[in-house]
Amino acid sequence: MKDRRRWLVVVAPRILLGAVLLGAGLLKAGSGEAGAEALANYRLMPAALNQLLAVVLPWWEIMVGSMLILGLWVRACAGFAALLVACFALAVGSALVRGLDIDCGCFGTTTELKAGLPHVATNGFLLALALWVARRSGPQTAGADSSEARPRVAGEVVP
Amino acid sequence: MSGWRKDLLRCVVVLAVSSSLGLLTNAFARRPVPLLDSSGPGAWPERAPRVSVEQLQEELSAGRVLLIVDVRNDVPFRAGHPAGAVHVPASEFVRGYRELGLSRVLEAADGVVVMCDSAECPSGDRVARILSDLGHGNVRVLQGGWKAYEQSTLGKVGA
Repeated sequence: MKDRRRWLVVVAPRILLGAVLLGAGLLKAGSGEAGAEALANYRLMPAALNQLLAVVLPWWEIMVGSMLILGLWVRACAGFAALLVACFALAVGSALVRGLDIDCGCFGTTTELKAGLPHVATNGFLLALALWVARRSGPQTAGADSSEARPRVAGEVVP
Repeated sequence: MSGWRKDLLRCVVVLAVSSSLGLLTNAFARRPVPLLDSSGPGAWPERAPRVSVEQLQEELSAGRVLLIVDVRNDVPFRAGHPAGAVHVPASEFVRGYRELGLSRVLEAADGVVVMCDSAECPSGDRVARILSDLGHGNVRVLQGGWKAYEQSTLGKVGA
């Protein structure tokens, strides 16, 4: 029973967050030019920065997503994911405020999803999930360092 | 080292490794994203001339041969598109243009109307720019995209 609760509270959110990031990264990784154009559509950054981000951003998502799924450096990766998702939410929110009718480019060129309120809400949910995972992962220890892998001392109070 | 410092260091490691992977895969990609190119794929395109659905309807009624190039992705295209439209997704336009032999088809028409999904239609502007650079005249972007076309009485497939 306790294991099931721990799985639902700690492991499932971590795997869900990791899977979303990994999926988004993999779908974007093969389409660099389309990614640069999707970023340019937001009209927030110069061309050079759009190109650089189109090349590295999918790999940030792939690596952070994979590490979250594997349970490695969980708090650091969840913090990184929170920062990424917050930036996505701000970008989509700013497009919405400026009335830009553009594709969000969240999952590469395989989908044509509009940058809109549902995306801001989804990013808000992912941000909350990332912060939750970071908080629940507890203090870091060497190796597989989340609270779920940390050996507990007899009588220790689990937060 | 304190917990947050360790996490910060880990974030830097994740950032460095994943960015290096991204740059490396881009360097060996079949079609690498040009970096630090101010007129490259990450640049906001110049706004191409617009044509409204009403104008399009008038011109077609007057017997002008206008070719509609639908630059949306496969999924929205399959869901519904203008009758007789040529489908070449914006993300792979240059390749599609060559493979379909569009050059001859476009030369035979009186003009080209590029259609996408959004009102902003930056992908349509990019395609219009490519077509103009390839020497095609009278290239315009459909104002309002598919949403505007769908509400008109013009011929449709699948909608």
